Amino acid sequence: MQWRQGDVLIERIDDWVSDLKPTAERLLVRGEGRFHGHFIEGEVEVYENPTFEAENPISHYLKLLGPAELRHLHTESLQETGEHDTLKLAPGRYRVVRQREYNPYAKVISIIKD
Amino acid sequence: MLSYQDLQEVIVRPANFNKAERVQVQLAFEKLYQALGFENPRVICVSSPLELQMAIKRGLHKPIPFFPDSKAFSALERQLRESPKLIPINGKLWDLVSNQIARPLCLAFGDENGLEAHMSSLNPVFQELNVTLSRAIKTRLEADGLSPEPLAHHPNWFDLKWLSYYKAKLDQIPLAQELGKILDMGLMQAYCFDKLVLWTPKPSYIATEDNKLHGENHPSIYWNENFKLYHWNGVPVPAKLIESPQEIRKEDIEPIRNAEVRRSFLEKLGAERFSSLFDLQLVDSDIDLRGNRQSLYRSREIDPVAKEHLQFAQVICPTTQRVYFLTVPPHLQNVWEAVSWTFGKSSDEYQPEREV
Repeated sequence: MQWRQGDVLIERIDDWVSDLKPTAERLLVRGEGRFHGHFIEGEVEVYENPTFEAENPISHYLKLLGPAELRHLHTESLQETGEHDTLKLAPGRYRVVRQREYNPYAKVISIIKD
Repeated sequence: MLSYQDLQEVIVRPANFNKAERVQVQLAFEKLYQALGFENPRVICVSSPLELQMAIKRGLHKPIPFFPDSKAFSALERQLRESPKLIPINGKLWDLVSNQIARPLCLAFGDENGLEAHMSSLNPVFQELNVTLSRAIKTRLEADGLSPEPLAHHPNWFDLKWLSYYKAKLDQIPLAQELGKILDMGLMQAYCFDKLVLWTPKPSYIATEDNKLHGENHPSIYWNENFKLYHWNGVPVPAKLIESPQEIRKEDIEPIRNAEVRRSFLEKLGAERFSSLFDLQLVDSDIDLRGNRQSLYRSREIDPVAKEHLQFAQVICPTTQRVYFLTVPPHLQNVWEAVSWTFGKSSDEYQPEREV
């Protein structure tokens, strides 16, 4: 199952990946220049994907030990931006996929930073 | 959290900013320098943060790309003739403000929780302005192969965040009163030498809409004709987009890698004009789960630089209804292949239950 919040896709998964890096950071994606970000809130273990890059745009893996929410907040005030509704997520395992685009001039794929 | 509107009087210079304010700043600096055991400095006000960078570099005998023709720079040259070797003393001002102003205020009237809450309410606006200004200065200087000079931490308009909390008590600590005067009279940034203070005032106006920096047909932050910044719904954009959008060509859009900036071009120019710049043709179109049309467009001609067709997925944000153009590879044949590709998926693998 998948849900999308703006430039972030979140997918429920059954399997798990080794060699992930646990992090206390709950800001999963920080917008560029606008002080907005996608935050995960709840009883959650967050792991960074060390092989994250544009060709493999999975940035994080999540273990939700209880109900959690993916929220789009102002990074300073932690108030809702109003740009994206909150996604409620059931306990389980998930991965976070970032949106990307193609640069026809450099022939490279880059992660979108909005 | 205080908005740009709430802080309008704090973040822009006084409406009647003129010589009287500059004299007040000079007198207050003299008091600070006396407290440090220095002679009264020459105090020069330059007209923008960019000119401040030029003035600092000149004071440090570093190359500058242009020499502003102004009274301030003539005064700077006189100072350099009188005392060619200027010694930076920003650190001494930092010590003075920390030890003889901030600490005594905190000890006498401090309320840690109250101060923290007060500063938090001002932080978002100050932070956003700081990031915007720093980026603009860096970009302008880097175009000439230069880098920004560090500024004095104190005095700096950031001092307003904590000093304003003690506003009613400043008269009880004379040096705090002087720092308060400097900031009230409009100082934004400064650089302190042993015999010279260089400073620049806050912008003369800051334009916003819905608490975002925004100027429909004019700069969003204005110091003077040589230094003004432009924003579209909070997104920094080139002057050309706002001042002369009719002159925008595809060469202006193609290098932009930031989806928000590209969205700003699309919103300002309108989808039709934006598409026309690229001479696009519709390849495929469909309706998403929320009833929004998503489309795949391709340039009619092979791009001479890319040596391939330019292809764009036009997607609509389900919450804000904003239209975004994302560049996708030319081999993708339909809109769902294109949207799926942006998340590294095939169209079979991309099946979101909900999009917000």
